[in-house]
Amino acid sequence: MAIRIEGAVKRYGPKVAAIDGVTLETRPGELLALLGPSGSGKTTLLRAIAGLEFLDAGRILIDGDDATALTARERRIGFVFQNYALFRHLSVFENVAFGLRARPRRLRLTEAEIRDRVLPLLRTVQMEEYAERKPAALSGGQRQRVALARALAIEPRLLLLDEPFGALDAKVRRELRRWLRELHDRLGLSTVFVTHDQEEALELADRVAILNQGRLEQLGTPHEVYDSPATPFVAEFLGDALRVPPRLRRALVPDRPHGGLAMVRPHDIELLPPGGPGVPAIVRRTASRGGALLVELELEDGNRIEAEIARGDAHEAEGRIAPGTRVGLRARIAHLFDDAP
Amino acid sequence: MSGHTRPALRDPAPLAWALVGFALLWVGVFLVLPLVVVVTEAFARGWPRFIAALQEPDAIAAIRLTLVIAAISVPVNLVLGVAAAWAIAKHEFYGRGLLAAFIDLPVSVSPVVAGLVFVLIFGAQGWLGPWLQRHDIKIIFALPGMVLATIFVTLPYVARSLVPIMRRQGVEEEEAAATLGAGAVTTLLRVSLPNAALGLLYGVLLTNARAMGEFGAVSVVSGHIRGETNTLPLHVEILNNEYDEVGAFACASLLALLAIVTLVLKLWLERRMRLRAGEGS
Repeated sequence: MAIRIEGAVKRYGPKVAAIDGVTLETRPGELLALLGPSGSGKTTLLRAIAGLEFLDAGRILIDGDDATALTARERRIGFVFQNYALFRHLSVFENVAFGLRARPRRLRLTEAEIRDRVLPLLRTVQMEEYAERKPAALSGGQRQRVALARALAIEPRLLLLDEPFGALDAKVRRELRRWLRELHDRLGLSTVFVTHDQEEALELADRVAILNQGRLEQLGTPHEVYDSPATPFVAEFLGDALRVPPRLRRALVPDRPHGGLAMVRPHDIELLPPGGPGVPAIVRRTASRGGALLVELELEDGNRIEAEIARGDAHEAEGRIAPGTRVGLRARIAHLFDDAP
Repeated sequence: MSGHTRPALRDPAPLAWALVGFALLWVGVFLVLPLVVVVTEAFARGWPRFIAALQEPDAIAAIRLTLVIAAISVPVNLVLGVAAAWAIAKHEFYGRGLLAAFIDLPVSVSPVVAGLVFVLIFGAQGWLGPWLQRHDIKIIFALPGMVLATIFVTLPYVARSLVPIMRRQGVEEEEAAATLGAGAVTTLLRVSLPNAALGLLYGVLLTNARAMGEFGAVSVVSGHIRGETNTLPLHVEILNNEYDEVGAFACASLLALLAIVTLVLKLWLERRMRLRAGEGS
């Protein structure tokens, strides 16, 4: 199952384009993340794939067939809403059975067949014992699993998830993330999910599509988009990145001293002994950031920048990061872009 | 919630008592007193006279006609109201605001005017009058006209009680139903309406109360033929004009009873809706 989106445009009003010419294609069985800040058009794109929004221009192809004019009802694409949108007056069982009962008469299943379809799904999402509960009596994580089972019940050609972990607290979120990845690998179902959380996208997805202001900035594996960002926006959105000012360029990025814009991630800044090569700076402050140490450095002109070093490194570099120590800064890796606005 | 108000929000005692007293007096004089009068007058000559007044053939005919009119106009407006509310609350289309405004029209139009409009259209001198006469169809001064007038004045209630509830619930569940392959009718019957069931009941209750109690519009199109085109409210007026006070008040007490039952059901529904809303958030 592959979805291809060609030149998709969706406008709200004459000037506002939620998505503005997006072309991308999913691969069979992959888990694709649509990542972007709020207002980037990622949810609109997801809804357009589902048939919940119609495009103003462009096409949507499902396995090569033009599905642009099909309604949501005809597309057979599973959709899990951000707030789950469970049917509040129906039990967990009936929520999951809804799609089976809504079938046209000639495809209608018997009560026993419905049970045989619903119960294994409830087992899959570990909700079997809650079959008779109403959605109001479930926790957020449980509701999400019910919503997932409900979407899977129609044997969708593609599964779409809108901010699947957005409404959950951090611990549940991490558990569900791992569980969802395992489930995806077991089902082998092509899945597209929307998130604004870079970490989530990089950790979970096979490929990440980064959207900004309705346009696709880059599409690639987590390693590709993180290690070789295509645009300054991608570099800055996937973790911190310092735009290297021209006056520091030669000293900080000695191997690429000219041309375009250079960006450096905090963990790619190397701390060298003072007096040698590199940009002279003074350590002002250090702070723990989990597994890493954040080092705040003051340049000679008074500006401050941040570097990040691994905890193990820190021991090695101990003498070098005490506040007040002089160091030299050099970029281990820099990302270069043509002159950006 | 604690029972007592914060001191800063508490009015000085005399003012508070004056306000409460005034409100009670108001309700007492304008709402409770008339009800008490209706009931005491109805029973002024004792039970037997009361029962006799209701067993009179004209009274029975009026009660039956009132029930028939309600039995036709309530289901019709149930269907119309659900359709209108669903369109207004769950869909975007050109002219939605206009539709919402038109639904409310019968509330602001005097019922007498509503009745006259139907006379103007279907009456002997009306637009369709000659045609109807040629085909021997009677609408004005007959049941069809009274049903039409009642449908007109009770049109808004179902839609008005459904729209706010349906709108508050958003369209996500409907969208979910669509992605699961459900068509419009399935979605309406299995998702939108069950979610708004209390609002629907509330609308039907108000529609019914108004349909049974309507005077003005029905009066214009009825023709006041005793035993044939008299509804209960019209019958009350006739008896009253004839100085049959026990009869008038006996029939009026039935209408008052309807009002009280409606009120109790309405309070119960409102409570349930508040509880439901609390669960949701």
